[in-house]
Amino acid sequence: MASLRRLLLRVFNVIRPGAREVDLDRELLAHVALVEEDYRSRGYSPDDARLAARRRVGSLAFTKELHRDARSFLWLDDLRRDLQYAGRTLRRFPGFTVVVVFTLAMGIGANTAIFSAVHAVLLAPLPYPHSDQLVRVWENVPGAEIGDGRGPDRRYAAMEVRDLLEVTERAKTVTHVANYGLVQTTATVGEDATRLEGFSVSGDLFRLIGVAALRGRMILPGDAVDGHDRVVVLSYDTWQRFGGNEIVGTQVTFDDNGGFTGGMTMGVPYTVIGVMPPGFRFPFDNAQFWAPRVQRVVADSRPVRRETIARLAPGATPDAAAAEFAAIRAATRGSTPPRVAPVPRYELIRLHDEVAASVRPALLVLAAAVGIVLLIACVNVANLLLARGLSRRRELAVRVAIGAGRGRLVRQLLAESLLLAVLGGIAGTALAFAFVRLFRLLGTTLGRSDLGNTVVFPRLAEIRIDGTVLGYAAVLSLGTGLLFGLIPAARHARTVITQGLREHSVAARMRLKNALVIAEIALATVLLVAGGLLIHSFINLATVNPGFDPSHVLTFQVGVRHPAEQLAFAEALVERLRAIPGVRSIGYARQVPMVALQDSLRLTIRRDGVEQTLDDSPDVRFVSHDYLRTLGIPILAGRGLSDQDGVGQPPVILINDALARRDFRGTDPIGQTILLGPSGRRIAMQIVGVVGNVRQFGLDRPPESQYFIDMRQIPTDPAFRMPPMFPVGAYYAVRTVGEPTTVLADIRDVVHQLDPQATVDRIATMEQIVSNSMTRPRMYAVLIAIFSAIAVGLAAIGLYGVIAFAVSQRTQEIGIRMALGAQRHQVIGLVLGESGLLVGVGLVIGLVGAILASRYLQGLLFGLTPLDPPTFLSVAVAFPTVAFVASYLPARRATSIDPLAALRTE
Amino acid sequence: MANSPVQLLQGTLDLIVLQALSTMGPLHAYALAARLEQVAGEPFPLNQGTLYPALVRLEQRSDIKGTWRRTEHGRDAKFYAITKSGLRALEGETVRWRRLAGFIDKLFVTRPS
Repeated sequence: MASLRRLLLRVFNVIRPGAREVDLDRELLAHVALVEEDYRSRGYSPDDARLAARRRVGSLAFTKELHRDARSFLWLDDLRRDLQYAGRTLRRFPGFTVVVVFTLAMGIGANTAIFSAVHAVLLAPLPYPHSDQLVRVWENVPGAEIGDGRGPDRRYAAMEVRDLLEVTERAKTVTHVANYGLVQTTATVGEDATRLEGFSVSGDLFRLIGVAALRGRMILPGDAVDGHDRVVVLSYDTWQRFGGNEIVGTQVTFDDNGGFTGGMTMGVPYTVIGVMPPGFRFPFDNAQFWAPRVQRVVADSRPVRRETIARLAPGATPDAAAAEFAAIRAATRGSTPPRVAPVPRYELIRLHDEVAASVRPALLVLAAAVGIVLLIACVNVANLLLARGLSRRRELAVRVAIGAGRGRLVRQLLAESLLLAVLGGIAGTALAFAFVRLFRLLGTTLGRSDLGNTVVFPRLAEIRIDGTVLGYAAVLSLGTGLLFGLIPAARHARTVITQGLREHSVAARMRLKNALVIAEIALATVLLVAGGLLIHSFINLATVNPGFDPSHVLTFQVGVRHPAEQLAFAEALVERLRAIPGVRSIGYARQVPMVALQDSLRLTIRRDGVEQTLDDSPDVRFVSHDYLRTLGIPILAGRGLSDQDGVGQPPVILINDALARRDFRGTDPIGQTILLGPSGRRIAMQIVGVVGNVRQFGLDRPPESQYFIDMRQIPTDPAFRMPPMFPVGAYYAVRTVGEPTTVLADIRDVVHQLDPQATVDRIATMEQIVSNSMTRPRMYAVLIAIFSAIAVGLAAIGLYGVIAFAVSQRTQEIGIRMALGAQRHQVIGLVLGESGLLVGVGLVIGLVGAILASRYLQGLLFGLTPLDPPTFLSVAVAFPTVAFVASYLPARRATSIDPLAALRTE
Repeated sequence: MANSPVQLLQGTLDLIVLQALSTMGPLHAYALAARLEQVAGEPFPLNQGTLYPALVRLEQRSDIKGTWRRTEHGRDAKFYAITKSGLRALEGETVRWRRLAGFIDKLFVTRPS
């Protein structure tokens, strides 16, 4: 206890030394006085007494030193003094300090911000216990044999239910297996109704995840049993939406809108048994409630699949579990164990990897980019320190003369560097907050679950400056402080001591500075090329022809209570909406572009009497007859859908250009037939037109084969196994004369008149939706552009500094030249020539480096190769231009050197 | 030999100071040094300054407490007095010292001749 007290007091004395020092002085003087008095009382003369007393007590300085060591920590105390001195020095040169701190802040801030993203998305585990054990089960199904060919191989993120049940029973490599299915419904509590999306889950799901409920309890295996399954757990947001009061025990009724019901029973009350903590959104962001699903195996029919996840047993690997699953499946179905197939039957992929995979390459590129920025910043600061060191030579020489050892000097200079680094770190952290906000802003999407998962930036909400990130910033600051501090410090100490080699050391300093500048120009070039490639790629993406005209188009969804009447409702609604002033045309469809809803039916085409079943199933679009006109999809041949193509009329079909080229080469597709449906019941639909290609699922995906069928002619025969036409309601597209949003109020009125209980949501203009789909490429382009600009700016400043320094070193020489008759332009040429050499070498090295490194950007580029000539060319031209501007100022100043004054300077 | 500084282990100087303060009551640093010299019999070849680190160590441990007072001659001096915890520490240290001294004694006695 006493030792702890002493330790604390010692630390305290380091921080606040003042009073103790004064007290000691007083005590020592008193001591000496007492001894002196003693001697005087023994008969010494006052002078002799004083001398004797001094001798007896010994060196006061030595005593004070020992005391200081005992009362505090010597090395810590020295550090404090060094830092105080460093602080005073920095205050003496405010301009220098500001430039250095600003430069460091850029580098440290950018790195800290990107690290927060890397940490949250790539490094930090998912917010579930032992999340590295969670895996998703994928099944690869080889194509069935058909005729002499094979159908397409398929890959599902879901297992067949009967295999699932077997695996749950028998697998040893996993501790839990659970499944879930989407539910889209309207939930009513009392009088309050709202549209919700949730999941019906197997009884084991919550135990698999391991997160406890906030209120009440979570779903347990006992709930997934007939008679006990009318229970539901709500998400935190849903709970708040319904009032946020005591909700456990209340009744919720779910209604069917024609969407996915996931096996839940519609129209009967479910009891709320629990609420999950805020931020819990499993398996996807749109999870607003969970209900148990009783697992039933229906013996007949086509396989039912459920999305499956599992928790690996400790020590088990995903591959081992996948092999066990396959073995269990083979044993259950009685087939022979699969040969070593080229593609494994099951693949188990860790959830964490799944989440991170889509953005890992881009994040690593960004991390490399900010790393380069930091290196350039350090080079600049090192150069600044080297230059300034020259002007402090006198001060350091004096300190050496007084008795400072080389180690002490190095420590002092290092303290200055560390102080600068810490200041830069603090400023950088403040900057990082801004960068992180920008990052999250750029990554924000419309937040709609129907637009697919590939647009959303994973775990965006978790990206923030937390303890770990602050720790990283601290380590980075100290590290950079050491890095750019050691070089100049060691140099100074050496050059000061070896006075005689003054000239030699200056030349060596110049060489070092030049080398550093070449390095930073090379690095900036690499970053500039990377930035150029990403920006060019984004521009390509933004200017690609989507196949439709997204301007002036408003889209929305209308949900009605009774799915059977959806089509009639849609037709009636469209009729009325057409009357709204400002509306040019209206269409409705199963989905609008960029909506992640896709179905394909088996197609057989009949060309000139010859039938051919297509290997892959083209994308089918069910649309109203005005849809193509509303979206601006061009008709390339024949005609589009018309009013006449209704119920009972001859079935017609439109194909897109891709389908025409691929499967109707040589013949005119118009007039040919497409057969739809199971054998024996096929409908013959006549091709009446060819339309343009639409980039349906993203601007970066090449258009696929597509065909269009009028809504009114959709087969109603159950043998056709049509998917639910409008899972949550039809999508409407309205082309307006002016701003699309101006007609929204009118639209709502009309919908309300037609059906007071209908809901209008998922409102967005087509332009917003298209822009939303480019969120990530835009984000990368903007961020890299900012970092490249910073890097180029810093490199230009660095170049300026070095050239200015060189000019100042060669003042005498230039003065002589001018005195001997050199013209202004010759002097400028001299300086620019030197600068040009540095830039040239740096540029070449940088371009070579960029050529080698750009291949890592492959996956991020659209519409260009990593060695895209225009980008490289523009960098090769732009950078020297910037460098020229940076060098011109010092060059011009060189010409204003007064030759006489120059000759006089030493 | 008499003028070479005695190499004292840090701990023993602390013990000496505590013992002196406990028998003689509060002393200022000079008086303490004088007392030590007196007991040692010869000029205690200890730089008086090295007493100060020991004093600040003990004070930080709250084994002694220093207060400014007037000497009988009217001069200001900082007097150090032993505290309760100091007395306890002294007891413990004394026991330890006696044990160590006894052990070393025994070593010398039982040296094979």
